[in-house]
Amino acid sequence: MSEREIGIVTDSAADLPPALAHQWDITVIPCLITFGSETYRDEIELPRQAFYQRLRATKILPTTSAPSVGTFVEAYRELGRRTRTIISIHVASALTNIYNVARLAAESLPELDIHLVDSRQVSMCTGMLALTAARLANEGLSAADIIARLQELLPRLRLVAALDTLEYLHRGGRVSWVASMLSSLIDLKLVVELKDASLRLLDKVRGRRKSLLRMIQHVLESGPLEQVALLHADAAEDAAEVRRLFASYTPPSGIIETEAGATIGTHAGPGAVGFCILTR
Amino acid sequence: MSNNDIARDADNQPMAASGTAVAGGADWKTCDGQQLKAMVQAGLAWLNQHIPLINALNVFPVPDGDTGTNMYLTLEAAWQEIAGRPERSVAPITEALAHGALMGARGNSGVILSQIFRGMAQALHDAELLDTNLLARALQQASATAYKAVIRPVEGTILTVARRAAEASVLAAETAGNLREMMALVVEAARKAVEETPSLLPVLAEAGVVDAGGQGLYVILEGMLRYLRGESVEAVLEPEEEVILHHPEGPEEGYGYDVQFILTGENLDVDRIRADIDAMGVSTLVVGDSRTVKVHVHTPEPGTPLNYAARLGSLSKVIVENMQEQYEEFRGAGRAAVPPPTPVPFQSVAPQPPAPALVSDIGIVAVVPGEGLAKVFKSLGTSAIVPGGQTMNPSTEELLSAVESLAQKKVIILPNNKNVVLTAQQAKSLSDRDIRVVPSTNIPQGISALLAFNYQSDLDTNVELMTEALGNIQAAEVTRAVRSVKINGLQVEEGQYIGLLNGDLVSAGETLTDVVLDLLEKMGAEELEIITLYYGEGVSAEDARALADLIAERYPDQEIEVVEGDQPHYPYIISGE
Repeated sequence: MSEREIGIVTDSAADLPPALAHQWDITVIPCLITFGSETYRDEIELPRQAFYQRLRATKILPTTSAPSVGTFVEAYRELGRRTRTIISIHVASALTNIYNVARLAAESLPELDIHLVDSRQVSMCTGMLALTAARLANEGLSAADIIARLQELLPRLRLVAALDTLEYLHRGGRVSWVASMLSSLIDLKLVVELKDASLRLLDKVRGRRKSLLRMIQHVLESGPLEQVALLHADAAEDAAEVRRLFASYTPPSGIIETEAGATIGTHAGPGAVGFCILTR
Repeated sequence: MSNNDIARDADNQPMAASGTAVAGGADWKTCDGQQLKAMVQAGLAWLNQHIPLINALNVFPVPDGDTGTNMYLTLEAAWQEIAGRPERSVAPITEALAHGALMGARGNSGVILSQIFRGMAQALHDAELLDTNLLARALQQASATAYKAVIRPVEGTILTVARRAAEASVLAAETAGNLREMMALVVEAARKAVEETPSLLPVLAEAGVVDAGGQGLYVILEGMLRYLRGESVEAVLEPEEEVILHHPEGPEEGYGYDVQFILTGENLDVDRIRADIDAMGVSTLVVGDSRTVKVHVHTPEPGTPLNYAARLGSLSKVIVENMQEQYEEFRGAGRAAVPPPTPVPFQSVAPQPPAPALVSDIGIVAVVPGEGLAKVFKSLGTSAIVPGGQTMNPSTEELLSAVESLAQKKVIILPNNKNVVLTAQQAKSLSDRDIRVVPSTNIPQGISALLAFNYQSDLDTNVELMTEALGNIQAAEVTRAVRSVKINGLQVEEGQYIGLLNGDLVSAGETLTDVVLDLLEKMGAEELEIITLYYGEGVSAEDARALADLIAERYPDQEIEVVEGDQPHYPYIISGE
């Protein structure tokens, strides 16, 4: 474990693989998942496999919520024992109130120097920012320099995903145009993009395989790739197929493979496969 | 219009006719606008007699794309535009004729016919009287304009007939002593050109037919000649197609309203409807098929035919005009100008639960047969549906009113039928909106194009994406042969099921299942990911499900989707992708 002077925090909606979080000494604050009257802390109390089993079985869509202010305060205080300076990087404030809760917690701790970063992204796009911040901190950069670097990266982040079903995105209620797609009388698979905190429709196609191929094509058309993460929501087989198809385009930095956590999984729905990319 | 009227016109316009000519052996050296009208009317009546004959000339024995009906409805629309025009001068009459044809054009032959009139109108733009030299010039301009209407002109079609008629008219103008003699030479050249169409277009030879559009043009010219010769154009070849002609002088005593509408329904009995409507008025025109019928009647009680038809199905394009008012206006009887009849805005075939629309400044108009398919297109974001395609080819005007009904200034038209593509292009040229035609020639292509539409992209990008998508799908269509024919090395018997793959007739058989399975094999279904069955006329949901199960057995790796299409004539439309 490094003895660096800056603490790095993110949330579980960043889908950072636990091994990487541990390796880079990144504190992950768990989001909350509620099935009916039962609330769980993402991953800690509800492992991914168990979550997807319930998600596929349940008629009632779970709801996701931000961790409490208290949870953040506790985590910041815990880190504060080692270092006064903390960079806390979170999923898009336009999509969840996690960032806002973190801000409230930070304001209640004037004794600490907490820098908040709104990634305007979700999942491993946010995760990649956290990893970059940790790496730069290890190299000895100041908080101000790290944040300046992260700001440069923000516009180069893009999430491209192939959804297996529209139902979850629709029930999640965050994307208005999905309703118009649901009325389709023929089965459609959507390829979507999240960029700058807004979800856009890239393609609507017939057939799962075609949607995966279109997703790969969109990733390749994004420009030269610096970092790539491949994630899936309980769709390991399709993800493996995508990785095989994508193998020859792997950037030197490799591909981080991860499973979408409950927060992303609840909205993307089981079966989703996606890429989080940082372009050069 | 009777022969006496012509004689009277001639008297009023001494230059117009030579001597004491009456129609019926008229040897006019010139004719005026009113006389030209009478010739057009005769051409219309003569064409009407030949509708079934021309319809039967389809290359593929499929029950749609009826050239005779399309040309008739186009010329009828042109006639409606000039019927009440009082001008003596030729120019305003040909101008109105061209405009009417342009708006009423249906099907490829209708569009080309409208371009023929447009060319004539251009050549006669300042003509007071029509003489043989002017007629020759008009026919040449007509031919040139018609050729320009299509991107790749094909010989052995109506274009060849128009060109031969124009060529003959040059010599005819020098040798003929009057318009009748000249027209006789022109008509003879047109007849020969029609006869030669199979030698110019192998597909016609194989099907053993002459070109339907060429035949239509020949018949129109012949009708005009018959008028000049004083021969009847009322000879009833097909009693059920009898039409009483409209009278250009004004409304018949007591028949005050001109009522037009399109009736859509199921199992419509066209003959019965024609008889019933005819009992309600005069000048009855009832054409169509079991799903779509166009009705036109002059009646003192406009409500009667409308109420009657509303019980049989749903009405669209309802137009009611007060002929008395119009007549008086035309006579310049000191009345305030009557505004032109306002067509009822075009409606989709069925009210749809409004899908929350994607915000786009681009509207999409699609020509779609059948309520089920209309719903599919609506569900995929089509802004306005023009019913038809395989039943009745929509007119330029119908496409235009669908375009005008949209809020968007940028509009993409999906014709979904090869016989609607030209009409759509004509609509584009007549609108001040930015219209683009993505030339889909069947329903699966239309759906493929719709899916490629991206509401966040601009018009050019979308047209490019959608046009590209046309090639990414295979389309098969199954129907029954309307006549026996040998084509593509395939012997087809009337009544057999036939299968078209991407527009080509490739399969024939006794059962739907046989033809569908054969089509799938020819489509290379084992390489595909999704096979979609849109079931239509004569197929129940259970039938379609059972066939899908059978297909799933044969193609276990493919996803099979069954969708209710309700399309007429075609039990199945199948897409493979």
